[in-house]
Parts: sequence; structure tokens; C-alpha cells
Amino acid sequence: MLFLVGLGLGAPDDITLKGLKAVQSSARVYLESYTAILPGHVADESSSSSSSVESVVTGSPSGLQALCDAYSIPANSIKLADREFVEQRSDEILENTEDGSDDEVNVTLLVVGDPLCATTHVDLMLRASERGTKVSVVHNASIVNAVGTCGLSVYRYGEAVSIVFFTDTWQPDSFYDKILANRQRHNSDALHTLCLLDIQVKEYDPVAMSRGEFRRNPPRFMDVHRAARQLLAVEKKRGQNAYGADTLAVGLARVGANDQAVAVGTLEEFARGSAQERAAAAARAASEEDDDLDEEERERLELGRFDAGELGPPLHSLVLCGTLTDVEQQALERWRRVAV
Amino acid sequence: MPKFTIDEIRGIMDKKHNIRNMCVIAHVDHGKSTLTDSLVAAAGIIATEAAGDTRLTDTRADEQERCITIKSTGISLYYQMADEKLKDFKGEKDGNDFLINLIDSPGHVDFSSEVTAALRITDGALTVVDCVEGVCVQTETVLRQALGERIRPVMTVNKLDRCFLELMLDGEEAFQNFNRVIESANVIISTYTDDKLGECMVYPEKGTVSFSAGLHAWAFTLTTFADTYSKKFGIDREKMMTKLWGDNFFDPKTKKWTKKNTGAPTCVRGFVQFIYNPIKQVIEECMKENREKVFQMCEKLGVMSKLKPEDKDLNGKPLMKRVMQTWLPASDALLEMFINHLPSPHTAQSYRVDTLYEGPLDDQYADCIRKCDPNGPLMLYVSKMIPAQDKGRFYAFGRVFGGKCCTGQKVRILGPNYVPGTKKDLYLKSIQRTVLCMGRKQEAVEDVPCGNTVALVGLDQFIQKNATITDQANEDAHPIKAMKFSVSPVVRVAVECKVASDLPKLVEGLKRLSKSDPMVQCHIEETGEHIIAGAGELHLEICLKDLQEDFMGGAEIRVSEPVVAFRETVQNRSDHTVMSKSPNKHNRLYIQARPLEEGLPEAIDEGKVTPRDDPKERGRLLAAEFGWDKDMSKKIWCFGPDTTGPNMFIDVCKGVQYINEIKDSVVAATQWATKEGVLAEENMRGICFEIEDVVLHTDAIHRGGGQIIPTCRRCLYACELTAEPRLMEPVYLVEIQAPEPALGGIYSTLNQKRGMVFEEQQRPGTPIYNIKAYLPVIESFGFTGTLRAATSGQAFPQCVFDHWDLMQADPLSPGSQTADIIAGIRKRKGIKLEIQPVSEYEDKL
Repeated sequence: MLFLVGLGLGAPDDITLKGLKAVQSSARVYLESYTAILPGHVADESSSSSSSVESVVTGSPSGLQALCDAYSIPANSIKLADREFVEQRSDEILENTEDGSDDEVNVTLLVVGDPLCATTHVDLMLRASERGTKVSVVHNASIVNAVGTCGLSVYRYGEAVSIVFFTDTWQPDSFYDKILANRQRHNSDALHTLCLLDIQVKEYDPVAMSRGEFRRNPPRFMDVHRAARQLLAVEKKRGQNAYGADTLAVGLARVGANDQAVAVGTLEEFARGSAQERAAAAARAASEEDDDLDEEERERLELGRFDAGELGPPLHSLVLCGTLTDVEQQALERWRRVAV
Repeated sequence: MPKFTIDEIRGIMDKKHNIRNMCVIAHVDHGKSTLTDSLVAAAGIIATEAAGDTRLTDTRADEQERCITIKSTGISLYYQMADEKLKDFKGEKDGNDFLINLIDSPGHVDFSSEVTAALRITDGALTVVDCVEGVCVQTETVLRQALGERIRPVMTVNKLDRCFLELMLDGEEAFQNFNRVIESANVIISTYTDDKLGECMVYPEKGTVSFSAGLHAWAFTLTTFADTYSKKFGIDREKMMTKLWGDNFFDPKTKKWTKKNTGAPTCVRGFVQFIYNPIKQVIEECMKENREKVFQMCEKLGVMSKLKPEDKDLNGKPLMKRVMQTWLPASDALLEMFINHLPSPHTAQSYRVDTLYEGPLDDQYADCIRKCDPNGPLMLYVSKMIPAQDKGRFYAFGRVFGGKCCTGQKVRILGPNYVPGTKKDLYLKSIQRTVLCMGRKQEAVEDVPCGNTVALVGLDQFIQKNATITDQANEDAHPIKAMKFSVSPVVRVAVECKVASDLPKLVEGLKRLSKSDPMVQCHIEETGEHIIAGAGELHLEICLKDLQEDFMGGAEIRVSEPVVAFRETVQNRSDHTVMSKSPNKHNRLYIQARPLEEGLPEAIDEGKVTPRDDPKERGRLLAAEFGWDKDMSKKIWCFGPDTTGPNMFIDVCKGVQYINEIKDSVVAATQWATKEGVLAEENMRGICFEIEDVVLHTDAIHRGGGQIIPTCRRCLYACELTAEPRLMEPVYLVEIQAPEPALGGIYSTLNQKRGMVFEEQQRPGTPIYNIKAYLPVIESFGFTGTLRAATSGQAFPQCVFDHWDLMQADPLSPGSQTADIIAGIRKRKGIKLEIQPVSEYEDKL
């Protein structure tokens, strides 16, 4: 039997009782580690935000240990499954899980959030069915529903989009059309748009890859400031007025965790919030100019650094507000006080 | 002692009309370095007596030993010209002082990358042709290269002494010989001529051809004689010039010029009558040591007073050399030709700018280059790195095209991979010193204005082989175009050190080697082998020697048998559309491979079709010459490998959503796949990939590089495998000169080595045959040795890379010739011995 268990968003103890039982009944437990991270559960152990993320991402003992402890299962019994593992070596996950076979065992894949919501593990389910493995899904909270925390009605969202890190040459902006469709509807109010922001945990460097080398980029997570900047850049390019500098947006960080943070502001305000940081980075770069540090290397370090803006460490999400109802407006007022 | 000081040189560097940047180009052994000596002697750097023997520009011990030039060497020379010599001068000048920045280049084909580097920074070229051997394969190559760079040629017919001393030609024979040489050079020139450069053919009667004997340091142009005779006959000088060449005959009896030989015994061609015969007479008398007669003639020629007393005691050849050298000094004739007929940087840059500058031709940098403006922004191109005496350091040698470069100036260094507007391959550094190259010496100067060659100190760590240098402030300057080499590094060897602890030396040594030579490539295979790739056997030999002796401090190395680079290609369209799925199964690519049209890979190699062309223009060219649909050109996503190679990726999809959002990943995958093909991880060649359809996840996050790049690469591999893949091997054009009795040996050696003769010609008037054949590079190792043994050393081959030849054998059928070759390559590279089946790369629905 294969259990796809949602872990929720906040902390190890967000797991459901049903999920916990599945974990405890399983011979092998994997933690999918590339579509999201659990920010909360190790934050107490170390004050530095970046190291907490790193520890889960790289599968440091402390991060996984915390999970094992929380689920009362033997130490080291959770294996980290990165993208390649889940996508290309699914046979290993599914070994001996066939229904009714003599040596059938239970296997659990832990997925941050909900297993079938923002992240789709449909492919794994299909492959499991092909082998004759039964699949049981244990749902949990996902950003798609937890975003309700900011006060905007979940019913009034349009199609969700994801925004990836732009490079000089790769700037996929197909989200623009979707946002446009959400916001400019004939004879009706504009819908909110949930923007999921890029998470690159163990991505290969495409430049190196075209030379046949495999080099991983350091993990990086998009923050709301960068997202706002990219959104505005695309609007400038496309010019169809889907949104603008004064469009109201909600920035959310670490939704579901104890230190969850929400901020409300216009896109311009969000974009500006990080501009100061950029100025600081530029000043830094100027002072290090004669340093022998490799240009590219430095740039990558620069990008890998988390924005220490008001929202704090990742993960971030951004909501572009559509037409607000009175209640929604009131709800947003709460965050306006701690706004950017 | 030099006749000039550095200050004088520096002074004249500001007078851009009085500068000539030129290089000497020719086939190997036609006497470039020897002739260069006469010029150096005239500038006073070496003794006049030694001219012709010193070969000052052959700075390296091995160059002196082997009597061949290996590296191009720059030297700045300063001359004061007499007014009389400048009679024919047209255009602007500033006083009678001239600065000639001269670069002597190697003639052997293996080193033609050095010629390319030299041509880039010069405006004119002296083409030296042996009067007996005539225009040879390398003469053609370098002329073509020169004209491609918009370098104006002048020519000298060299080794005239051979006509007199060795072949004893009579006047008419000699004239026919010279005429043939000049005509065949003009055929080449007219083939490759460039509209913007204008008419470039060379004619003796216009003064653009001289006749020389480098070894004896004498030379003349028709002007030299026209001066004398126009006075004597009272004919206009220019008219006299035309009379002295071509079909103009003079009968001293009737004192009449005719267009045809009248048949009278006294009627002789003007050239023979007035030029060839007098020279012949002087030489013959000298050789006979008929002193009285010689000195009598010297008196007549007005040379006597210039001879030193001790010269009069010389005998035979030395006497002849002294007399001829004094009568017709080589430097006079050549300099006159350079100054009158080669362009100044000011003139040359106005038409060269569009072949030089990569950016928009109306920005301030293009304008600065066009006007050769010393007050504009600095634009400097480093064309090669020269090892300094200080071991391990290099001078960056190049040409200032605009502005001025100064000692201590802060500059931007734009490497070959620099992309305007980014920080890629960009460095900000200070020039420690600017120096001038003077053959074996260097002299420091404060600054160097545009139009001059220069060597820079202190930038060697930041420049790999070449670079564009500009002021720190010029952030929007585009780089100067990269050089196109006419040869490619097709021969490689693996090196390792005998003592394991020398490994760091080897690694460092390879870095320096790669810097010191414009062509050599050094890289590390997956197996950990260090590979050196060069143009030919001789090139590799020199590289290895440099590596061991100069760059590794004599540490011992072991060198493998040479191996040859192959190419992978396809013969047909893929037998079906190949589909591959991304790892997350959300994305599917449908691609087919097909061979590029015949001639198109070569057009890409030659730079006629490039990724940087305007798509419209490229479309027209592709439609006209290769039968493409006009709009297809806009759909080319990339060339590969290295973004410029002879393979293409084209989007033939119709209205697919998001397709442009995966372009980046597909381009990266194409670079990767075309660099390492599926057969043996050799480069691909002549393959066109057409993407026909895609299925993509709606969310960009699920179709990033990590998903698309490996998928696309797998798909391209499957395409290659399903399109009748074949190997291509490199083939040399080999030119062999030998007397008739050696022909049998040549043919049998060529047969044995899979060579194919396609031309055999006897040189008119000589017993020498000229044979041209194709020879697979892989068979060329030891070819020279075998050939010499088979012909008792009478045959001397010149190999130059010519083309890639398709090998018919199917590499996918086990046991075929190409399958064996591939197994060998795969073993060497340390990858799985068997070619993986298509199913490994293709997915089913």
C-alpha cells in the first residue's frame, strides 16, 4: 500500500492522526523535498533562518530527526526523496507495495501541504496503479486553502499561477494572460489571483548543463519583492493593463507556521521594499569590485540570500486582490497596520 | 645602433596618416622572414651586411634551427623617406617620416592561426611568392584570409636570384614565368575580392608588384627603373612604367616601341631589355669575378661611391650581394611600395569598421573606429598573447582601433563570451604598462594612440586568447568581432606526466600553452586525460615542446599516439517523429532530425550564415542558395555546438502555447547534444532538428530547465539514431612538389594511405610536378616520413585541413569499420562501449 500523506504547512505536529497512523505502519517513509519545505519545525533549533531551510533541504540530521521524534518512529527512518528520486526512480519507492503480494509492505511518501493540491503526485499514483499497488491519500492543509488566512474569500479566487525566477533570456510570462483573465471579466467583478512563487531546491545550472556538466545551483526561494518586480516588468512589456503599480496585493510568508506573516500593500510598495536591498547589494558589489571572487559566483550568492524584508524568511506567496467586498476590506485592514 | 629612438617612434604614432600596419604573408619557405630582414636592416636594427641571414623576426631558438617561422612577430620600424620617393604618393601625409608596424607571419599551414591573428591587426599585406614555385596552396589560403579581413595586398615575386644562378633562365622565359605567377595570384585575388575594399589586383606597371631576392637583400619595382629610363628617353615616367611590362617591345636598332615582337633579332621585350638583362649582366660578371667590368658597371650605375673599400675585395657571391644590395636596396623598393600603395589606418578603418565592430554601426564606438579618432573612446583588440621573458607571464598583443591606451589606465576587458549589458566574461582591470614590440626586444611607452599595434602588460590573467579592451566608462561598447580561423584543431594527443607529482605543473602548463597559441585547444576528458588539439602534426610537435620546456620547466611528459576528431551526422530524415517525456511526465517533445542542405554546413563554417545575421537577410540567402522557405529562417532557434556550429534547431510548430517559454532550455540542450553526439560523443555536423509539436504543463514551474533540458537532449539523441547516423572524418588537402622520377613513390604512398589524387600538373618550364590529393587526417601521421622514404627525400608535402568526408559504413551495424572506430573512441573516453538503443532515449505514449 502506498500512502501519500500531506504534512500541512506549519510544523511537524500538523500531521493528521490518520496520516500519523500511516507513517507508523509503514516500512519505508520518504519525505518529498523539492516542491515545498517545512519552515516551522526547525526554526526553534537555530536562530538563523537560512540554516533552518538548508537543514531540511539538504536532509541534515537535525531536520529529519525532528520529524522522527514528532512521529515517535525510530530515528533515521525517514529518507529524503528529491526530484530525481521521485520522478526517475519511482520503482524504488514502490518496491514490494503490490496489493496482496506475499511480502507486501506499506510505504509512505510525506508531502508538505496536500499531496494532490499545489504539487501533483498524480504521476506516482498512476505508476502505482500500474503495478497493482493500492494508493491511499491523506489530505491536509495546502497553501491553496490556507491562503484564506489573509481574509480574502477562497471562493473568489481565479486560476492560480506560478511565477518563476526570470533569467536574462528566460522570462516565461504566460501567467500574465491568466491574471488578465481573472481580473478583466466581462460584466463581473475581478477575481483574486494566488501567485505561487518559485522554489529551486536542487536545480541544475542550465548553462553548465549545456556543456554536459552537472552542477547544482544553491537553493533559492522567491520572495514577494522580487515577484512584484517581475510582475511589474511583465506588465510594462505586455501593456494590457491586467494590473498596475497601484494594484493591491497581499504578501504571505510561512502560512500555517507559528511565525506566519502577512502584509498588505500595492505592487509598487512591495517592489520598492526590496529595492533598498538592491541598493545595498549594489554598494556591496562596488566595494568588492576588485575582489577576485568570480562574477558569476557572486551573483549567485547574491540571489541565494534571503530577503530580510518585513515578511522574513521563505516561503512566500503573493495574492493579487480582485474586487474587494466590505468584509474582505475590513479583514485586510488588520494587516495594513504592519504593512510594508 | 638603431637609427631611431623610441621617442621618435612615439612621436610619429600620433600621425595616423604616416602609419602603415602590415604583415608579410606567404607559403612556407618563400622567404618572408629573410625579406623582412632587409627592412629591419634599413631601419638600422641589424647590420646591413647581415640582412638576409639573421632572420631577426624568428625569435625562438627552434625557429632559427629549423629555418621556419612558428610564431608571428611584430616589429615597429621608422623611416625617413626622401621627397623623390614620394612622388607617386596620393592621399594625406604629415611630413616624410613613416612608421611601419610590421608583422612577420609563419608560412606553414599548421600555423595559419598565427596568420589570422596577425591579419586582424594590420591593414595591408605583403604577399611573397617564390618566382619558381609560384602560387602554392598556402599562398591562396592566406590571400583569401587577408581579403576576407579587408586587408589590401601588394606582392613581391621573390627569390629572383634562383632565376639567374640556379635555373639560368633567359629573359623571355623569366618574364613568362613572372607573369604567370602574378596572373595566378590575381585570379585568387579577384575570386575573393570584396566590394568595399575595391579593386585589389596587383600589377607591376602600377607599382604594386615588386621583384626581390630576399637572401641577397635587393629588390626593385618598375618605378625604380622607370625613373632612370624616363630621364634617358625623355618619356613620361608613368608611360615608361607601362612600357616596362607586358607586351611592349623595343628594337634598339630602330629605336621604336612596338606592341608585338617584330621578329627582328634585336627586338626584345621592354622588361627584358631594360631590367632583366642589365641585372643578369651585373650578376654574371660578379660571379665571374670580373672585377674591372663590375666596377665599371658600378660606376655607370652610380653605385661605386657607395661601396666601402673593403667591399671591393669580396669575391663571388658576397661581392654580388654587396653590389646588388647597394644598387637596388630591397628596403627602398619595398618601403616605397608599402607607403604608396598600402592604406594608412585612417583610410583602412573607414571600410574595415563593419567587418570589425559587432555593435550597431552608428554608435560612438563604430564612429570612433571609422574615423580612427585618437580622442574617441578606447577600442582595442587583443589578437594574441605573447610569452614574456618573465616565465609564465604574457604580453597581450593587439591593435588600438580607436582612442588611446595608456599605462595605468583602468579598462574593461570584454572576453569572447561577453554579452553586452551583462557581466559575463567581463573584467575591470588596470593596464600596468604599454609597450612596443621590437622583434626580440620590447620598449615601454607612456601611451599608444589608435592605428598602432601595442603590447599590454598586466592583463594576462584576464585574457584567455583574445579580447576587446575599452575604457572603464564605456559600458555600452560592444566587442570587436571574433576572428575566424581557416584551420581547425583536428589532431589531438593525450598527455600525462611521467612523475605523478608533476601534475600541478602539467595543469598550469596547459593553461599557459592554451594562452600562447591562438589555435591550440586544451581540455580534460571525462576519463581524466589531458587532451591537446592542434591543426597538424608539426603544430602539435611545437606545442608539446613549448609545453614541456617553457611552461612546465622541463618536467617529463608522456604523449599518446595522436587521435583524430570525428563528426557525427545523419543521412536521412528520422524515420518517425520522436517523442520524449520529461521526468515529471507533464511535458512531451516531438522532434525530427534531417540533414542540412548540401553546402550549408560549410557556409556556416565560413561565416556566411551565422546566428547573428539579420533573419530577413539570412532568409533571402537560405532561400536563394539552399531552397529554404523564406519564413523558415525566422524560426531558427539556435546553431550548435557553441552557438555557432554547423547544426540547427528549428521550430516548425504551429500555434503552440508557451513554446517560447521552453526555448532557453531547448537551446541549452541543443548545445549539449550537438557537442556530444549519441554515437561517440563527438561533435555533430550538418544536422537540422525540427521540433514539430510539444505538450507542456500550464505552469512554468513544472517545465523549467531541469525538466526540459535532459528531455530535449534525449529526444535529439533518438532523432539522430533514427535518421541513419554516420561518422565523418577530417580530410587534408595535400600538395606535393617533386620531380618526375619521384612520382611513382608518391602514388604508391598515397594509395597505401587511402589518398586520392585529383590533380597532377607539371610546372611549365621546370621538371617539377605539382600533385594535389585528398588524404584522410587519420592516415597522415608519419605520412611525411613515409613519403620521403619512398621518394628518396625528393617530395615535400604540405597538408591543410580541407573538408569533412562522410564515411559510408553504417555505425549501427556491428563489425563495420565505423562501428569499430566508435568502439575505440568510446573506450578511450571511458563511456559505455555500446551505442545505447533508441528506446533509451525515446518514450512511448
